[in-house]
Parts: sequence; structure tokens; C-alpha cells
Amino acid sequence: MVSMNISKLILISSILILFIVGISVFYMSQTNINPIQQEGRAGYTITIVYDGQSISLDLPSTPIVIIGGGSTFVNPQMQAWATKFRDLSKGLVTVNYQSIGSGAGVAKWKSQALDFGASDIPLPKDIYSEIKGTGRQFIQIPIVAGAIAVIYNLPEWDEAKCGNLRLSGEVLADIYLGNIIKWNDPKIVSLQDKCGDLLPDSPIIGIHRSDGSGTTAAFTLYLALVSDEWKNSVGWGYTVEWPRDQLGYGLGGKGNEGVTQKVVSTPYSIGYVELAYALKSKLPVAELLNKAGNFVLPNATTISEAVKYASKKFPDPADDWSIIADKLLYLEGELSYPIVTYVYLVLDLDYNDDNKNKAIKAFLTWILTEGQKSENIVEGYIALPKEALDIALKAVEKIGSS
Amino acid sequence: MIDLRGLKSKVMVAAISILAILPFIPIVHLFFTVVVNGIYAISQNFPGFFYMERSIPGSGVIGGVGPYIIGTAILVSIATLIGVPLSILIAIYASEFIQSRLTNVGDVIITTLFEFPTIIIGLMTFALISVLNDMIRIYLLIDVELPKFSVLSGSIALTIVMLPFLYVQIKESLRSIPISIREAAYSLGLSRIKANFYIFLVYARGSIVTSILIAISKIMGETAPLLFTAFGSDFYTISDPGFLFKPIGSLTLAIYNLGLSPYEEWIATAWGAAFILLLMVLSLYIIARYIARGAYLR
Repeated sequence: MVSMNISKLILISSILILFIVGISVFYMSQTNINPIQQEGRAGYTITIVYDGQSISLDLPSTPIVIIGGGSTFVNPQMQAWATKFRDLSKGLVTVNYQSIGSGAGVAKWKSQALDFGASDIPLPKDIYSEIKGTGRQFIQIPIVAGAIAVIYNLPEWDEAKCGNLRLSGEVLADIYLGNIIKWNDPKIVSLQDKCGDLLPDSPIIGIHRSDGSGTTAAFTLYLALVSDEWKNSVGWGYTVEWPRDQLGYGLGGKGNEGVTQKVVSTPYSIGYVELAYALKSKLPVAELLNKAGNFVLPNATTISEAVKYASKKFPDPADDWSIIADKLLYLEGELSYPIVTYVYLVLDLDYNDDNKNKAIKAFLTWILTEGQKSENIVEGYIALPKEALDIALKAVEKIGSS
Repeated sequence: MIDLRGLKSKVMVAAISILAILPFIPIVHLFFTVVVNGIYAISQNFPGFFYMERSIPGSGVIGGVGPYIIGTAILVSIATLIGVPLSILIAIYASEFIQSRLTNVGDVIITTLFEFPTIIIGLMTFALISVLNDMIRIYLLIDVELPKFSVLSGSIALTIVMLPFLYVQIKESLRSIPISIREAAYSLGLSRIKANFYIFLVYARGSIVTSILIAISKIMGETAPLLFTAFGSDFYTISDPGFLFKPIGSLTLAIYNLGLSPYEEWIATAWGAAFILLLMVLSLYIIARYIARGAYLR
């Protein structure tokens, strides 16, 4: 009787599976979701116009899958580019990008498990010189910019009446160092234009990332730039020791979503997240004091202003970028937002495979030209200015030619 | 006069009932959130949700989870194809040669693996392939690289996750076969191999099939061992002839990646993926229970 049951079950389940497979195959053939096409393979090119001249991208002769991974921050933008370029290249170039974290992305690229790695900060000096020592030819290029927003949860503060809360780098450093305990500290009150008396007499809960992240690296680097005390006692990196935690007024959250969630659920808290998360959470964003002495919110104007000043300082893509990491934050410019970060790709100059070289070259050339147009940029990211793109494009030209 | 004993009894019954219901509340809550959000997400793009790719964030369109469903199906079937025969063979050895030193040592090792964090199993598989690559390069002197991120390494990691569970279950069901059945089988003059394959496995088939189904649903929900092995992919890869050596996506990896993003479209897609995974696991459990009940009624 049992054997009857089992054979009946196997029969039913196989009929079900066949049914599901049948439906899927039907829809797959209907919607042409698999755009790899047989015709027009050899010598297929895409022509794009950049800076008044047309560039033709040589595509590989067989379908190529490029595997990349790293920065969680750039993942949505990379997925948008990957989907659009796969459709544009008629399935010849597929970019499989997975957000495994900046550190892991660089490490797996270094061990040659990935074709490229993406990181929120340039390669650290020791890793750079270690890879350089093996004679491997590689470059790092910026591909897109973003900002880190300071979010806060102050029930007493009415944005409609008082405007967004104003903060400066020194005050932020003092908060996370534990020098400022309460919201009504004179240092915070003196920064406010109006409503200074609305700031409550309650301790500030400083929220930070508990996992290693490029966001923390950029934020702590900014604090180190504006505060000598921070630089000497804490420093900067993917993870740091947060002095405020020892006072009992600090909390860690995992990932940007964890920090956002903690700020939402903890009154009188403050935290730092990538701009996209701040925009989606509907939490108020603090205005930060920039080098020119103005209070600015992170938005398209203020971020691109900061990128414009940074791009004059970009080194050659084959050089060590870590030595100038501190020169790309907190820049001059009336409207520059102080905490702007870049996503860097680390990639080889030669993949020992003509088709792969062509595929990577075509993809990167496309994202550095057409990909930077506003219709291809996801909300929360900012395109790079022309000066930065020119440096990167010149480096990408060299892929496969050595 | 108040009936003190009756009152005491009623209070105790009430307290115990409340305590019994309490642990179910989070489970029921979890179940209903996944079902409600999942059905809502799928209904916004039906039936496209089952075969399309994830959408571009910010586009306002809810994509689909087609590549992830196929990825999970491929990973789990290959892991099952490797894991089930292997664990049956090991379990037969362990139930036949109880006194053997190999059984004692192997038993300890495999049951230790049972409680291993699955992320370590993923990293171990990744490291294992690196070591294999070094050995091929040094000893065989040929320029062949086993891909570290591939369907095969993902399946191997899942096999290692399911192996201890299956081994313990099958070994126990083989050992619990009554001695009278064993004696009857050997008195027919069957060899040990034949007795095991033709009599004992068939006798214990109900519990074996049940444990296989539960093992499959167990590995279906695994994320950690796949992070550094199957790696993930958001596109259909099966049209590629060498897809076994390329990364592949899975439902669990998709839930992990899409659910943590700030974009509504992706979060909705993750809910839908969670609902589909829930359905797959639930149906396996129901089939397993059905078979188990049939085995007892025999």
C-alpha cells in the first residue's frame, strides 16, 4: 500500500514538474527573455557619441560573462548598467555583479576569482604594493559618485519651522568621541540659525555601522580630516573603535539598513548612511558645514560641485590612489557637500583572452560615456564630471593592448 | 465558601494554555507577513514574476525571480544527486560494521559536521578548490583552473550541508530494522550487499524517503554556504553551454541581497521570492508527512 502511495506521489509530482517546466518554456519563448541571438555575431559593434566624436565599441564574437563583485553601495547602479548593456549588446556581454562587500571584492579579485572588484575606497597602500610587487598589470578607476548623509531622530525639531538641523564636522567628531553628550550642548546650539532653544536636554545616541564597510571608512576619514583629536585617538578604516560606545551612548547597526532602522526606532539618535537609504527612509538629513563656511544638504548640485573639485586631483589610474584618499573629501567650493565618496573598480589590463578584453573594454567605455547620462543613473548616485571620465577612459583604452 | 482548588486548577490551565500559544505567535506572524507581502508582490506582475529577471531599481516596475528559481532547482538537484547515494552507502557501512574503527571515527566526524556553521562549509569549499587548483598546477603541470565560483562548487557545499543529516537519519532507520527481518534475509542465503539493497533499504523506504525530502527542504533554505561558492547571478545562465562552471543565482541569495536594499521594487521582489521558497519547502514537508504517515499505517 505504501509503495502504491509513493509511486502515485512520484507520478503526480513529475506531472506537476512537467507542467511547470512547460509553462516556463512557453513564456520564455514568448517574451524572448533570452536575448542571445545567433545572427550578427562577428564584427558586431556599437557606436556611441561622446564629447562630439563617435566611438565604436568592438564586441566579442561569442557571448562573454564578466564576473565582478564588491561594494554593496554600488550594487543597484551596477545592476542597472549590467541589464542595460546586456540588452544593448544583444546578450554578447553579460556582467554578473554581486555585492559581497568592498573588502571581499578586492580580496577575491586579487586571488583571481573575479574579473574585477569594486570598492568604496581606493586600494590600501599595503595591498597596492603587494599586488604591484607580483608584476600584475592593473588599474583602478572611479566610476560613479555618491554621498554619505547624516540622519537624525529629534521629535522636538520641526523641519518646516526650523529648517534641517545644522552640524559641522568638528561637532560630529565631538559627538562620536563622547565630548558632546547632550543635544542642548552650546556647540550644537550655536550652529543653529533659529530654534536653538528647541534642542532637548537628552543624551545623543550615536549610531554607527557594526560591520566593516566603505561607508565607515569614508565617514571616519572625513572626521579625521576635520578633527585632530579624532585623527590621533581613533583614526579611520573599514571598522574603528567608537569612543561613544564606551560611554553607553553609542549603538552599532549592521549594514546601511541596520543603521537606518536603529535611527528610526531610537529617539534622540544620530547616524550616517548612504544617501539612497536616507532618501528612502524619509528621515530628516542634517545640513553640514563645508570648507567655504556654508551649510549644505546632500543633493545633485552640492555633490557634483564637490566632484568637480576632486577630479582635478585624481592621479593616474595605474598609480597608488590611497595616498590621495584624504584629498578627495571636504573640498573647497561654495556649495560642495563635504562627505562625497567614489566607487572604484580594480581590474587587470590584460585577461589573456581577446574576447574578454573586448567585452570588459566595451562595458567600461559604455558606462563611462552613455552610462553617466541621467537616464542611466539610479536615484542616489551622481555622474562623474568630464575631467574624471577622461582620465578613466584613457586608462580603459589600454585594456588588452599590452 | 470559595472553591479554592477549582480556582487553582482553572488558573493553572489558563496559564499553561497561554504559555503554549505564546511561542506560536511569532511563527504565525512570520508566516502571514511572508504570505501577504509575497502574494501582493506576485500579483503586481503575474505571471511574469515567475520567469522575468529582477527589475532596474528606481524604475517602479516589479521584476521577477525566474533565474533564481532555476538556480535553486539546479543547485538542489545536483546536491541531491551526489548527496543521497553517498549518504546511503556510508549509512549502510555504518549500520553493517558497527564495531569497525572506521565507523567509530567516521561517526564522530560526520556528526560533528552536523552542527558546523554553514558559512564555514562555504568557505571550506572555496578553500578546497583553491588547494585543488594549486595541486593541479604543481603536480599535473597542466594549465587548468577549476572555477571557484560555480554551480559545481555551490552544489558541493550544499552536499556537505545535507550529508550529516541524511547519514544520521538513514543510519538510524537501518539500525532500527528488527533482528527478525535481518535473520530472515540472511537465512535466504543473501549476501550482505544484496540483503541491504533488496531487503533492508526497501523495508525502511518510508523513513528514508521522508528524511531525503526534509534534507532537500533544509538545503533549499541555505544562504551562507552559497555566498562564496555559487556566488549568485541575476541573469539566466542555462543557455550557456558551460554553465556548470559559471556562477548561478539562488532564491535565498536573492532574498538576502534584494531585501536589504533601499528600493521598494527590490524589497517587494524579495518578499515574492520568500513566498515562493516558503511554498516549495512547505510542499516538501507535506509530502514528507504524508509518506511518514503511510509508513506507520502499514
